[in-house]
Amino acid sequence: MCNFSTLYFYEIKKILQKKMVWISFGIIFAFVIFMGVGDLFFSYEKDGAKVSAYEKIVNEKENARELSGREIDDSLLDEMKRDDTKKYDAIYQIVKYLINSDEEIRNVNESKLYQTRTDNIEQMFIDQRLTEGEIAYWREKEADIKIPFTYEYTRGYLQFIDLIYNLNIFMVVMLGISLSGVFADEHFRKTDQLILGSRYGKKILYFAKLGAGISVGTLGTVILLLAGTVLAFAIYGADGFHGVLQLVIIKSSWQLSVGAMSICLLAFTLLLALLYSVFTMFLSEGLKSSAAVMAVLLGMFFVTFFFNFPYQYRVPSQILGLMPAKILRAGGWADLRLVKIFGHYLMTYQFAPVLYFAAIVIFILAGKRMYERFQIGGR
Amino acid sequence: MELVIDRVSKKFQNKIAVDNINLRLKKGVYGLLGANGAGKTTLMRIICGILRPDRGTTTLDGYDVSMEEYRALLGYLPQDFGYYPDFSGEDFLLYMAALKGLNRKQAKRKSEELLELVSLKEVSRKKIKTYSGGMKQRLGIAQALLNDPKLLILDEPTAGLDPKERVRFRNLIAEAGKESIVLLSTHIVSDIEHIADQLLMMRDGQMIYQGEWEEHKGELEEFYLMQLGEESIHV
Repeated sequence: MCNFSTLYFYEIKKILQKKMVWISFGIIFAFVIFMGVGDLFFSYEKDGAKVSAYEKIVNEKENARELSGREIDDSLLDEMKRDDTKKYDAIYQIVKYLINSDEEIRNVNESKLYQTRTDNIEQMFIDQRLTEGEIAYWREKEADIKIPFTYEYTRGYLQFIDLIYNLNIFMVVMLGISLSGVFADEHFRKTDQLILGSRYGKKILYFAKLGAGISVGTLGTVILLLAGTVLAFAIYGADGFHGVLQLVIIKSSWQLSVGAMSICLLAFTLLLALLYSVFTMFLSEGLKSSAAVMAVLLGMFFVTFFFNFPYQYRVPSQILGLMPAKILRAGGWADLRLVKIFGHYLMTYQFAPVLYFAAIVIFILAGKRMYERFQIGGR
Repeated sequence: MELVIDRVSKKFQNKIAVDNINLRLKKGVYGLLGANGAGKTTLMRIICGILRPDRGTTTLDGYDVSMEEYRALLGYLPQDFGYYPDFSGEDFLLYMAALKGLNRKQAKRKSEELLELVSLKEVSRKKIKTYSGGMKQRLGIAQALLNDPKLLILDEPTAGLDPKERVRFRNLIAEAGKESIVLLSTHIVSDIEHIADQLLMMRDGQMIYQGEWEEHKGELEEFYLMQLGEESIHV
């Protein structure tokens, strides 16, 4: 239809013919593999003997699996306090998220543990200057959380979540290098004169380029995700799909399983791949320079990653909190501020996809307008 | 087949690049002469729809320049012809053919035909970055002819061609001019002498001469310089 498939094929060819695309993808792929297996290269000492990292992981897995299905209550906490064989290390790590001091951990009990958790959550309400409506929302959610938590071995999912957080910056770099030239190169090479003067060089070609860029961007992301995920679950196991989210994010009030959260993160990452691809190509046409596109992408990422507005500046702070760099990082789940739409509260992870879809549509339409109206003059 | 350029003007900052041009062109070859900066390339870009004029309209058989139907009838070879270095010559023509609306079968047939015509058949599978300047120019000419255009705009098409290739090119254009409107801009006066049916001369954005050229009018070069208000230089 309108030669769309032929043009799509050649646009993909243009992207994949660039050496930089393969070099950057190869380096990032190697990084992902190293992140997955890097832990295996270290060795540890146990009882005076050297233990390989793999053996350590196997031991931890066995110990943790023995504890799976048990409630984190007084009985389990007492066993943990009495143990000196690191058999209860998994429980210890969970307690340590809430109670930092070893002295206090030695005296911890079920009541104190969960009260500390509740106190931390209440403090977050104050720190983040939540409204009464928001506080009521989270207290209602918290009331549905079953306490004590049932422990499940979820190390594989922890690795997966780490992968997702790190993938964010990898995606920015990979998509920036791959797609920054989709439109910019036509202006740089002066092929824009030929294509804009041809029958299908405007609307049809614009969508062929967009389609090619989105395909390459999404496929690259999927390959990285697949590689990292396979490694995480192959090494650490896929146990704990139905484990409560609080085993991974102890202060969260979401009633969600670890597995369901992982699926949400996966879908979110694919949506980000689409958003980054479209935004990169929008910049490519707007700035007409691949280098400028890369500079903007990396600049925006690092500014949104490192910069913070204090909570008292609610609006800019919350807007910044919706940026991908803020959401897809370890502390992203800790943002309790909500968005109220038509009387309903939406959490960041619910509102952000709506925002991102809207942004994708806007960038596509604005980019199309810029592209079709471009004038070749003065050169 | 008629190209109508009606009161077209274009200004860049303080310079008037094209100043109130009116033209009605029918089938044939039109040679566009003018000094550097006269407005030839700007006018050609306006005719190709890649530059919007400040005033005026351009239509081809009633189709406005902004329409897809207009671009379907157009073949264009720009002065600074861009290409994709890692595409082969064949790839490039197939890509351009798809852009111009040819289906796969037509694109294959026409690409092979034109590669033969411009003597690039043997290197068609090689990457364009390995081509010489003349080969790239011939490839550019080939892409302009892919869709059998009714309006062919050629901006300095013979740059980089050796004398033998230039003669072949002239024959090609003369043939094209029998069924199409061909507008050809060049600094090489002899190109115009041999193939143009009509002359168009531009100076400072204005059309200062439009008419047929015949040998009895004397040396074209002298006539050209006279129209520009410059004395001829005798060596």
